[in-house]
Amino acid sequence: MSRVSYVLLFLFMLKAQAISNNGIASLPSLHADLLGQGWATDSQFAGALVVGQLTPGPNGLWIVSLGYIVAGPLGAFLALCAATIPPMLVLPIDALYRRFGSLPGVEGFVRGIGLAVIGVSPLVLAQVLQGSGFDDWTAVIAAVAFVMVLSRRVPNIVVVALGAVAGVLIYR
Amino acid sequence: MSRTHATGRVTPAGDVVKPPPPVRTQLLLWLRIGTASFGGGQGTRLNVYRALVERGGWMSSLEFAEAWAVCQIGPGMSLIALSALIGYRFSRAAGAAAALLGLLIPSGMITVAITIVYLRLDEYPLTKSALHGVVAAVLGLAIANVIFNARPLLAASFEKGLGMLVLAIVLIFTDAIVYVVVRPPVLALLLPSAVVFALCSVLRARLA
Repeated sequence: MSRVSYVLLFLFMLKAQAISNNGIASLPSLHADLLGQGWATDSQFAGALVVGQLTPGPNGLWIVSLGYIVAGPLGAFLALCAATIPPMLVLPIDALYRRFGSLPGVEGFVRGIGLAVIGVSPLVLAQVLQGSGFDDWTAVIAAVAFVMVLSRRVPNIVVVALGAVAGVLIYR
Repeated sequence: MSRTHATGRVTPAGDVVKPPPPVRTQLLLWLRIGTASFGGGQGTRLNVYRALVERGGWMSSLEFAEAWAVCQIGPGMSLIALSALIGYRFSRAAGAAAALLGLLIPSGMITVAITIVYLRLDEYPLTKSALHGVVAAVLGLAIANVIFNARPLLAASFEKGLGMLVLAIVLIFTDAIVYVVVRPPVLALLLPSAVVFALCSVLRARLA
């Protein structure tokens, strides 16, 4: 594998974040750039994506995992910095929203986005799941996890850990 | 944006919430979220909602759902945008810095730690089975997140009349169906529903 340029790695990561607005959407751009440079393999990308689903923080932190795989601790740090910059554009957007949010048009616009996200986001996740094999047990585990969350008695971390235990018992 | 109230802040929709806690408390809250929210973005968003809306009472559930919608407009990861937005609303730059550092430093370090472990274990079948179970549980968390955001948005629509509630429900299902059938980029779905809902809101306000 060819030697990694930290500056270029940072710029690739920054570009991928700037042109995407969720964790997985940054995949195609980074995949093209890093494979093009010969810095990463498909299986390394797959591993990083799995880590992103487990770890605390946004799923998009899979790029921190990838940064570490490709270029060690500094690569992970650069990925984290690249991930932090583009979302800051939300601050001026929110300032506008707070100023004009009481206008029916602006309020409706933001709520319309919220409604669309509700319709689409479970499907996006189901699509990711399809890659890892969706079966009846997947639905059962998801349903039990959902009930635990709604009960408000079980912390997330326990729900996720029980998911892992169930996975071992069911799929081994 | 908000009037002050004897017991706290009144949101634009009229809910009374508590004034934000000191920045130091905010930092500790975000550090806890960044450390304990296993299950990726879904687990993290759920913990943010729990900590700030349900336990803290510093935001209403409608404010949270609308903040999440605002975060879809800009580039980059929505959760990072959400933490900056909430921190900034609470305590300006200091609050935003506390939110970003608290969320990202621990979760970034844990990501690296899990990467190191995963690189050694990924060839074992047991790891694959455990991961399959985790991803299924995360789907459960995702559905909870959707419901926590849908409730206040639908309630707010209903306050504007039955017609707006019906429109909201129709939009949710139309977007879901279009997504399954056409598979457009998510942004291409968000924009049309935003415009439709905005136009109908303006029309309704004119008629009322």
